[in-house]
Amino acid sequence: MTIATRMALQMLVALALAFTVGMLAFPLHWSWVVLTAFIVCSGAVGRGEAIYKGLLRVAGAIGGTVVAAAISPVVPSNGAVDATIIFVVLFFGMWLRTINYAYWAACATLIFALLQGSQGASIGPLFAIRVACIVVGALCAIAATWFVFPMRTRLLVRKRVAEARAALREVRSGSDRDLRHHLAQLERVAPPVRLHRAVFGARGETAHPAALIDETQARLRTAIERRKVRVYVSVAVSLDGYIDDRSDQRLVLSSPEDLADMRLAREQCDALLVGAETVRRDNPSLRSPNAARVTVTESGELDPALRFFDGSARTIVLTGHEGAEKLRTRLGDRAEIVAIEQFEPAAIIAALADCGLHSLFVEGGGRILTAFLAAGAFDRLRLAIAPFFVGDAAAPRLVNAASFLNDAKHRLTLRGVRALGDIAVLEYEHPRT
Amino acid sequence: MKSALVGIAGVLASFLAMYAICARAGVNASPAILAAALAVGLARRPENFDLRATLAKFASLPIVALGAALVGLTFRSLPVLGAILFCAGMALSIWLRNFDKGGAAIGRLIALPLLTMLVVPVHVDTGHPGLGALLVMLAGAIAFAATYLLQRIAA
Repeated sequence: MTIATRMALQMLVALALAFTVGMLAFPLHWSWVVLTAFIVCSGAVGRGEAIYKGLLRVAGAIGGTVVAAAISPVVPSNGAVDATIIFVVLFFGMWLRTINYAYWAACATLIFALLQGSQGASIGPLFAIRVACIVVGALCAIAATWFVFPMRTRLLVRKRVAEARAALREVRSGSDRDLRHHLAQLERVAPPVRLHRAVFGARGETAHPAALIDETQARLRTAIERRKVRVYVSVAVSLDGYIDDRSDQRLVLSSPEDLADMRLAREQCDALLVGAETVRRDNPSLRSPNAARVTVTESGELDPALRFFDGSARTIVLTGHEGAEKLRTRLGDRAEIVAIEQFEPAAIIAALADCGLHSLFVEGGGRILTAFLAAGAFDRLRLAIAPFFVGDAAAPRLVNAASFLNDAKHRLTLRGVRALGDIAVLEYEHPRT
Repeated sequence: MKSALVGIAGVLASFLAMYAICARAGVNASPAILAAALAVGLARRPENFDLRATLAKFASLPIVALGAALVGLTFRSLPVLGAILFCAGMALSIWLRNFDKGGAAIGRLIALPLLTMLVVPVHVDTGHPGLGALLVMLAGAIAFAATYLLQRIAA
């Protein structure tokens, strides 16, 4: 049976109970019983939710009654004044409802009092009946959610947490799921269990449902935040599109002016990324003030003697779960080893966001550049073009063959063209979707 | 805060417009209160400004409002039958959530006037049943139009 069918049956029973009890016990005010039963039962998937909403409704009605009793002697019974106050109270009710339903319940009771007052009715005994009707209506709804195809709140929390965690796993592997939807779903079931924890405590349990929700929500928020990591890809190529030649020495493509400009761009980022092959082959120190050095390796074959691990800056190595322990042993405290599920830009970015890094400068080599450029996983692309040819078909090119998000139909936006010495620097922007 | 301001503006606009019409027609203010109550309900869920869905909703809300008013009339003459219709309508509105967003939207459309009828029982004393029905339908249309337009302006 689906949750919607279960809730429909609960509503049917709750309303039938409310009509029966209301019409028999409160023939003039049965609608208050029915309305409360509807409100409490509406949207309450678990039993805890119904109890929580019932408590809010009763608390709001009592609060509204107290306020009405306090202000009724000082508010003159005048049609225009009453109408103005009613709309003002209605506004506050609509505003505060987003914070807690009890405020709305209190304002609704206050409006009712003002309406009664404007008709010259005595509100004292009527409010006792109103509160009694609301309590009875809430009990009808709670009884229905408790006995008619009930859903235990603990099970509901586990279901929502499992769904949210499944979505998180998919996000880690690059797919796009609506994390905010799961955050909202958890927030819906959270208030009653948080109230339960506040009143009864965790009772020594290792995982109170409220703790499960808090932990999962924290992960979801992190995942949402990690989407805010800005990625800056920088690459220099020859006129024929090569990033290096086949010699042992690294091919210098940039001019001094271009290098100085690139240094400035690096300083704007808090992480610099190069592939493990580049670390092994070029042995770069990759220094920039306040920026962490990051590399990605599937094989885990990294020599601790490389300049990359000289301890002069925070160093992070992203690798698979299997090789993580081996690398931790090999590199010791020279680097933080972070295990990732897949070697894809989304997972790399997510892992770096988890490390507290919010802007990433991607420098190479070919595999990393291809992965980020093909997936469109960048905000800016800085392309420096050196005024010469390499002319070797076996030399490494800017990108390898891949399926690129930005093809002829999905072009990048050219944001600037500059001449730095004899180097032309093109700046492209990618609207991230 | 902004959505509450837009919401209350919609409520005021619906109430005042309908109140003026009721005064002109020489009937009590029940349809105006109905319009305000409907606007309160509509303000809770911002419109998505999809033209087709909006037109469908605009066309259907007055009819559903009329249906709710008929249930209200049934309550007065045959309370038990009114209660059965009310319970069935509300349960149906929730059950329709089984059919994705479209079903849920229809369900909300059914539930809103029923609930409003419970909060604001409509007794239109016109001496002419056709005019009463017309005013109830007009209340639904005005509430929807005012809420929609103000949300659109504020967006």
